[in-house]
Amino acid sequence: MTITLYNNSSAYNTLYKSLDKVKEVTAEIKGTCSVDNPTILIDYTGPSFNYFYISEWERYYRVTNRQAGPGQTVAITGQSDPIESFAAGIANLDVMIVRSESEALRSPELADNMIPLESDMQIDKVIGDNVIGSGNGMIVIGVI
Amino acid sequence: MQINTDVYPEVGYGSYSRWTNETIDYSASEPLEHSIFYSGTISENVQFCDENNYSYIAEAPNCAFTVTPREIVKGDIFFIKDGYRHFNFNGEWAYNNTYAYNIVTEFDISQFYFDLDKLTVHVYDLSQADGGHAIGNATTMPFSEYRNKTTEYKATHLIRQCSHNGVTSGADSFFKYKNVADYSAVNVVPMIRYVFNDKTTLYLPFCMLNDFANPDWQGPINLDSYTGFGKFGAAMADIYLAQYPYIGKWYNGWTAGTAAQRVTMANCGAVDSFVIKAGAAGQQVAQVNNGYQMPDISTIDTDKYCVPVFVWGTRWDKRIAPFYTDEFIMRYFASSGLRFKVDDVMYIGYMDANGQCNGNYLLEEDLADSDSANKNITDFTGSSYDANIPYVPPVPPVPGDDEDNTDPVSTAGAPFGTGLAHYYVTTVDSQALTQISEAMGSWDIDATKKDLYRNLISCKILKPPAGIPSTPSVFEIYGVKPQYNGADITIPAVNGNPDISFGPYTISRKFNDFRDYAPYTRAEIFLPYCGWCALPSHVVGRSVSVSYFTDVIAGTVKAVVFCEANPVAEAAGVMAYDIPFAAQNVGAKIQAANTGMLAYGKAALQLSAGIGQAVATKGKQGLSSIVNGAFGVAAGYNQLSMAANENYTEISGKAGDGCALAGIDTIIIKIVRPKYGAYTTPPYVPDGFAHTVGFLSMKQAKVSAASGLILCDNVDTSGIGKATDAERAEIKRVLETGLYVNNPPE
Repeated sequence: MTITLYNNSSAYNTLYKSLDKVKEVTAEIKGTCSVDNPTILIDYTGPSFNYFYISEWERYYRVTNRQAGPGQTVAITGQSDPIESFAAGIANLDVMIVRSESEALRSPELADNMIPLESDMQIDKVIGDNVIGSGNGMIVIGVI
Repeated sequence: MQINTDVYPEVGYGSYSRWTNETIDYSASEPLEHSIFYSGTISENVQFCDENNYSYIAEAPNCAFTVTPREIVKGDIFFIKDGYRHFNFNGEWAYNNTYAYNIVTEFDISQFYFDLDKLTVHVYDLSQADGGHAIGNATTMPFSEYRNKTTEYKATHLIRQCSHNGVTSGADSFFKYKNVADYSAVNVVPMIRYVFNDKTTLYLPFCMLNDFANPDWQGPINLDSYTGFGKFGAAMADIYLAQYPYIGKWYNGWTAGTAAQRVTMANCGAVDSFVIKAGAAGQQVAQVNNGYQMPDISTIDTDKYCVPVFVWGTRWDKRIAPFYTDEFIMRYFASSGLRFKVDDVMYIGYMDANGQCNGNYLLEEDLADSDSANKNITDFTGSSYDANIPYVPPVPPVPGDDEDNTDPVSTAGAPFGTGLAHYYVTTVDSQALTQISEAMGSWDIDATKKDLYRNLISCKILKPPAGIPSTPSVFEIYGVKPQYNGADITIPAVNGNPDISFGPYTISRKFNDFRDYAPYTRAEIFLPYCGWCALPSHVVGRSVSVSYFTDVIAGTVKAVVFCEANPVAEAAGVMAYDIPFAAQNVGAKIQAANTGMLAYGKAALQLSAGIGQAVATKGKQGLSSIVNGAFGVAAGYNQLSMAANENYTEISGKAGDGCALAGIDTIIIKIVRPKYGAYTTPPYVPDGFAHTVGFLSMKQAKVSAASGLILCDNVDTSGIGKATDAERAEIKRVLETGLYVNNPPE
């Protein structure tokens, strides 16, 4: 089978990772292995890589182990990355977003106990009109 | 002297509607009472200053002048003009260090340009470029030390000067260009109500003469030496000049040898008592040039020119700063009932049934549908204006529809004096009080009149938030009118309780999130007279206004705070304190007279020195000196030399504490918020907070609608087709612990 080798610079918990393609190579499965955690043999010399894609299985994998064999044979073990493998499906999920980096999704009027508050207070003032006014006032005399 | 009023009013002079076609007689030796009459909607206390640092304070509407020495306080407007040398003809304020424009304002007056409430403040000079109108001399203003005081300025009146050439009308220029190109600007002044001794009332444009060599405001005119201009003289000049739509004032520009000129009031008959003589070169002598005959009014294009126009000021060195905005100018024109055009739209000054104007205006097309007394005017070029509008008592306001029963009921307009008692109001040091005390004291002490002192049932000193509505009246006590110098004593009678609103004040949000509200943020408001009052936190981000409802008789006031038309708080307070009357049998009155106290002749309103300490004022002089001065402790009043009579009754009183009046006089809204100083920019959270913690969202959305970090709750992964159970679990775990969403690859 043909696999594609990548270098991945994104964190695992990233949707739509930044993948730099290294090379497409032919690979063989070593013995029997799981789809989630396969070990495959490739005949490879070239730049290092930390990520690969198996097209027949439609999955992306993080390289967890590399063992050199005779000649240019390399045995690579990978761990399935369902985040990247099913990115389109994940993107299409309807979810209840509890917290969001985007202010567009923020609900600012909900009390958020994660925002730190100082115990000290700030006093702002709005200065209005002079009501009493200057002058010495008026005298009102009541008579019968 | 007689003034023939038949020729008045002129077309469009709506405020003249109260004139009668009578001939008015009055004596030059008797002072005239005059007061500012102008719009209450835009007016504050009008303040200006004379050469003795006395400030004239007219509390609109229809309140008498008070000449009260006091220090400069917030809101005072002073204008010293050395005119054109410092004036930017583009209408911007020019400042000169030598001739300080003493404006107590927020702004550094070394700036050439003021922004008053974000509006451009245009200041116009009082001088004339065409000669003869130079004003001022080298003496600097005594208030220069106040130049940099910060305070809030409010425009209270408009003063500008009109060219005596009369060719260039500033009004025309103003309305065409919303500016004036030169000095020939229009003076717009409030209307003055002149009340003569026979109580006939004239409404005339206010004007004070300036540049007197003899700054004696009180003295009668000296017809021989022409060196003194009392109120009478000023009034005469005003009346004359009021008829001439173009003339301003002349100052200091006339050379020696100019012949004395007789002022004639051509359109109202000859006035043979008023002549102004020019002085020597450089002498500050006002002069009116009688070479300008009264124009034929019918030839004046009232579409183009606005009348009357006058300079308003006191002496040259203590002028009033002319600040205005466009709206202010319009309302001033409207305050005299005039019509005017702005951008070819005709406006009419609104006049009520009594022929009085309040500065409001209507479009001409709306005039017929209004309740204005102007509504029936159809021709402003002829004489169809009704000069005899009968007086209609004001109708007390009807509370609003108040569907939710939350509208406060105003006490304004409530009938006064319709029962057994009636109430008079005047300024603290008015002549009326002195006259009353002297008149009552001059009565023979007999059984009948002695007992009338008991009919003085109350006396309060008030500092209301607005002028007290009143009507001209004669002082009367139990049907008896005390006489002063053989004449009735005029003193306004209260005819309503003043209500007034302030604001709105916008209380800005800071955080634009939950922190703007309780319990994180709280708001309080200081209500003068009442004290601090808590506000609900929902006022943040909204506007509040304060309405004061007063009770003149009780001396109490209630402040109601509205948040966008909804009442949210109220508080009660006092705006007055009593000066109680207590009858005493006093012994030898000669002794009392010798100690500086008036004899029992002034006993009716005799007050102790305790008053002064009880009331704090902002003036250098406390109330005591004013009150005591008015009521006879100070020298200057004739002491009645009465034989000692141990059986007379002296009414005396001592004021109690008036703490409510000795506090902050300004509405202050205090907002106490969480401190945000560490976070200097919105949204006022630590750096990186959004990317690492995220903002609280609680919104349903597709993952693709998000950007950056999201944390979800109870994710349903059933929409992902080919994932194994383990993979679904992992997807759910990551979405619920934090997923960073990037843009999909192209």
